Amino acid sequence: MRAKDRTGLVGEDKAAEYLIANGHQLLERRWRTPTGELDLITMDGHELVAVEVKTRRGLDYGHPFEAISELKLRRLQRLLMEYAAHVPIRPARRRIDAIAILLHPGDIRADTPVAVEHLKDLP
Amino acid sequence: MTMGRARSVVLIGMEGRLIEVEADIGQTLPAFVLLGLPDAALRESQDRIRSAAKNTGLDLSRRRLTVNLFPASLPKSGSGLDLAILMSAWAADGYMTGTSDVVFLAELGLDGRLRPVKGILPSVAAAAAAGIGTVVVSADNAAEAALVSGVEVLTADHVLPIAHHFGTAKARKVLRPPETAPERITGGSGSSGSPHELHERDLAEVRGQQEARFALEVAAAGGHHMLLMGAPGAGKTMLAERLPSILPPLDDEESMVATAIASISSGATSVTQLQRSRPFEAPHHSASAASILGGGSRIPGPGAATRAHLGVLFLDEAPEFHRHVLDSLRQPLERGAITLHRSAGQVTYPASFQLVLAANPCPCGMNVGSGRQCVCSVAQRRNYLSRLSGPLLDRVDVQVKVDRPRSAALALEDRGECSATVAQRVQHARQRQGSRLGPHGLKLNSQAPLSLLSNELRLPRASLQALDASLDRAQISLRGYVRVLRLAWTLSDLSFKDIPDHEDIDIALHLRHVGVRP
Repeated sequence: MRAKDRTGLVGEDKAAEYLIANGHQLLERRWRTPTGELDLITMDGHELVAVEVKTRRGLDYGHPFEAISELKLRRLQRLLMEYAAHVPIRPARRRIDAIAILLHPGDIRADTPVAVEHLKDLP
Repeated sequence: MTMGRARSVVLIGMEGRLIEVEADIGQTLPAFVLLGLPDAALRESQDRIRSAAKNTGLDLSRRRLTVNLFPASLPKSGSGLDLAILMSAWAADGYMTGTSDVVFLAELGLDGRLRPVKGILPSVAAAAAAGIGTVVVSADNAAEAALVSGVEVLTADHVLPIAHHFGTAKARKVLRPPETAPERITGGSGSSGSPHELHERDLAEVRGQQEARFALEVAAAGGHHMLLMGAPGAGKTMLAERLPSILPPLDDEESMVATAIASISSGATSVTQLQRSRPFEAPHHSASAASILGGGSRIPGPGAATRAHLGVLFLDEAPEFHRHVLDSLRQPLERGAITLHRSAGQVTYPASFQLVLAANPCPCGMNVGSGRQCVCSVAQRRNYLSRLSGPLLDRVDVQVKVDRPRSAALALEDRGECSATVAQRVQHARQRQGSRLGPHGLKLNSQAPLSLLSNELRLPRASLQALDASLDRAQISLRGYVRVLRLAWTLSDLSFKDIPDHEDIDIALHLRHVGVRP
């Protein structure tokens, strides 16, 4: 497994832990369709949430959130709509969240996040 | 707190408008949104600001940063808002405090250094007029900002000392300590400029040319526009270039305006003291109307006519100028100001200048004296001078021929009078005009209208005989009649007479009779 993929997986684990600790109910991880993937899908109360997780070791390539483009947001919305159509859940509303996980730069085995940032309800 | 405020000034022409910069940090994806009609240079500021912040050691928020420039409907341009935007963004992050009533005027370098911007003097003056007490500028602009009294100028060559000055404890923990504190200068302490600056060009260098020298003195004394006509090499340009040296220096109010014009039209760093000498502008005859009157996209900038405000606009080889350029000068000659309209808005620049035209008598230039050396056809000669339109020449009171100096005059003549001596007489004549015309709201004889000259300032019939005869014989027009009267008043002021006599009228007739059109 390549280092970047490992970093991504570690980040998703940490994000899932963080969400569960904050009262989310985890429904899916890495939900895939032929046209894309949702990192995490949870229920936050009555809201169905697609969570995009961005993980970085260090800020040399910019902040994790800067990697989420307008196009990416539109794709996440479309995928969440597809997911909602497949499952028998009737959420009050759907929303997109983003989580930035900052791991210790340099040390590839260090898995404790330096910082976790959570943005709710992206437009 | 997620809101930050700072102030700055944008210039619409010469007029400074106070701008409020508000920054708001929203809890969503990183973005930098600039609202309030910014132009391209201003839009680029966001990248300069991000880099400057990072390299100063105080990163901007990694969230959506919305910057609003109030009033939002006013189109804004230029890079002078950089520092104000950065300070408001930092204030929104809780790094700065006390910035909301401070005017920031500087461009940022990528490393965080403060760069000078144009138009500091009128901007700071506008801030002071709006009651702002503190202004922050780059070190290169400090001397210019300090010309305005009533403000405290805070200056540094890098944003770091400024950030420390306004920084909260939160910011000071992150920032490295600056090597120097920002320098404080009390406004109004700047160099006010010497009223008797040495002119490089002195009238003493002009040999002979008694008649032209006299005409120059008369034009200076009464503020009359002037046409110098003569063969190439006769000294027309030399004379015209020496006109500013015999004009009285600018007073406090005038020098503030002249310096402000220099400030908005110069490269950023050249203004360090108030300008006391009269400006002299000599555009080349290939000049376009936009370069003379002012122009440019969006809010147009000032042209040569505005830079010559309160001074001299010299058009050498006047018939070679495009005719529409010459004629476009008629409006500023009349009003003393130029109003330019563009889709982005309109601006008015002051343009009250003394016009000096120089012309050859014909395309080959040799049609002087008997004109035997001239190779031009009659039609060529006529065409050449007809490019100076009647309405334009109507506004030129003094029209004289400049003859080539004879060898005797060159050799026997000592150095002529120096500028300082002539300037004294001019100054005196202007004082006399001021006390006579002041009650009518005028300063110079050249501004006196016919109504005034034919009522309150009417001359006795005896003095007017020769002039009336010329009018009756159709040698001069009624407009010409008025110009002769104005000149006569200036002549009497120069010779300490209370009222022009028939001798003054005769000289005045001569000073305009030898010109292009009688």
